[in-house]
Amino acid sequence: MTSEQRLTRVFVELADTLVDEFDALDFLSTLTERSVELLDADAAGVILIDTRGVLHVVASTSDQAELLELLELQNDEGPCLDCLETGRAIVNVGSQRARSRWPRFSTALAEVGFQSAHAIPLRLRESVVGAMNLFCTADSRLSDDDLALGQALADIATIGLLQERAVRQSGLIAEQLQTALANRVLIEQAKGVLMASADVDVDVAFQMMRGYSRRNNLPVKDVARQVVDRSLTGDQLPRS
Amino acid sequence: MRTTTQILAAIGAADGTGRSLPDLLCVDCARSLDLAGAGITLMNDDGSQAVVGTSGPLASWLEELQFDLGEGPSLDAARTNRTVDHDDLDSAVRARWSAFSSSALAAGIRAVTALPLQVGGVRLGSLCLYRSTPGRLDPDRTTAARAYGAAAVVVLLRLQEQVWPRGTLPPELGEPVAYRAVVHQATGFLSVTASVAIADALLLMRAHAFATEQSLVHVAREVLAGRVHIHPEENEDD
Repeated sequence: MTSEQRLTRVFVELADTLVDEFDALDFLSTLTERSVELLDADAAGVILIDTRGVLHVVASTSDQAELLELLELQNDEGPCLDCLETGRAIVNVGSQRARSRWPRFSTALAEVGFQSAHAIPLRLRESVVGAMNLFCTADSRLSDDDLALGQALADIATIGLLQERAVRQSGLIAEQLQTALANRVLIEQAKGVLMASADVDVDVAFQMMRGYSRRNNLPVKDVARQVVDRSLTGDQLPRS
Repeated sequence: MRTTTQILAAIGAADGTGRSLPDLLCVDCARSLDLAGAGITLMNDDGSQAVVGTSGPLASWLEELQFDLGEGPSLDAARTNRTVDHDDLDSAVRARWSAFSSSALAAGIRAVTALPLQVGGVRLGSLCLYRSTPGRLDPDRTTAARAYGAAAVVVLLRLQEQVWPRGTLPPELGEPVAYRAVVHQATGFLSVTASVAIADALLLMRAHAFATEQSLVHVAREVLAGRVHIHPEENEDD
């Protein structure tokens, strides 16, 4: 299979996970695994930056403690931090370059058995929301083509994150719709209960609930719920 | 066949012509898929709550009929969160929705497809497509139907998103819900007079509406006006 065919297959696989039951963590985990395969790396991790500027490891190819530490260490120093600050990919960081620029990162890198590291930004328009980190046991270099491929994969990660945010926001609006609907139904039912039990018309029934709601500083929907479940009866409600 | 984005653009362009966006979506859907009608019903766990968009009177009547009967494709699609597809109402489904099928067939409907509308695990309702010829939807029209379902979700969320204050319904959804207000009032009323649970009160009214061949809204008005008294069956023998 050519690298283009493999890339196409990865796109299809990831696009598949972008529908319906979307799980951002599964998506990013799949992405790290495929990135390692396509770019001949040995480990990968996605780091996101929160609004306070703190870095969080959200996905990695392994849960190996040393790898996670290596990723987290970059809160203080490392190619990932530079990548987030500049918004540009920092690639082909060999052990020598690492040693002079980031001594702690370099030590940690060697401890896990890696010789080189790469950090590719997850860009959202002008801002950088995170980075994909790649590690290799050999002192291998990413070509310009490899880098373009890596950036394409990182862009997919950003799309996945946007999708996750959109679904979450849509879910909230859908819940608001359902709540508003349920409250309307409940209030109408409560009116009917009062019409029958207190022998009043529909407008008076509503005024009684409104009056009780104001006096007791309770939302009308809560008064309605109590009327419907009969914990509140007509003679406990004010008649103006 | 249109994609979701094209559908939204088309109905957005027709906005302001006097019909609501859900109506415009159903009109566009019925025209583009060559349907007898299309309708959008809001649903929650208690079932159908309001018909919020239709292509015209036939679809309005069919959607309202499902609420009156408490059965039909729209309800099944929303309840199971799966597309309900029946390519010949005359055969397979007469047993499943006997009352709905006979009425729909009498109105010239031969096949139905109902798509669930939901987002992020939250149920919103369904989009039901009514066809006057039996047979399956071909793959192109099936894809297009899904695009209309996705567009319907976007329309409902857009309307709800613009609501202020939060916790209320936008007029495009609130007015259809208000049409059924008498049914909910009568449900509460009957739960007192017949000493039954709210859910049972609705079932009693539904049975009465079916037996007397009246709409649920009509029966509800009669209950509230004291012109009809409905009791649970076991009490009728007293």
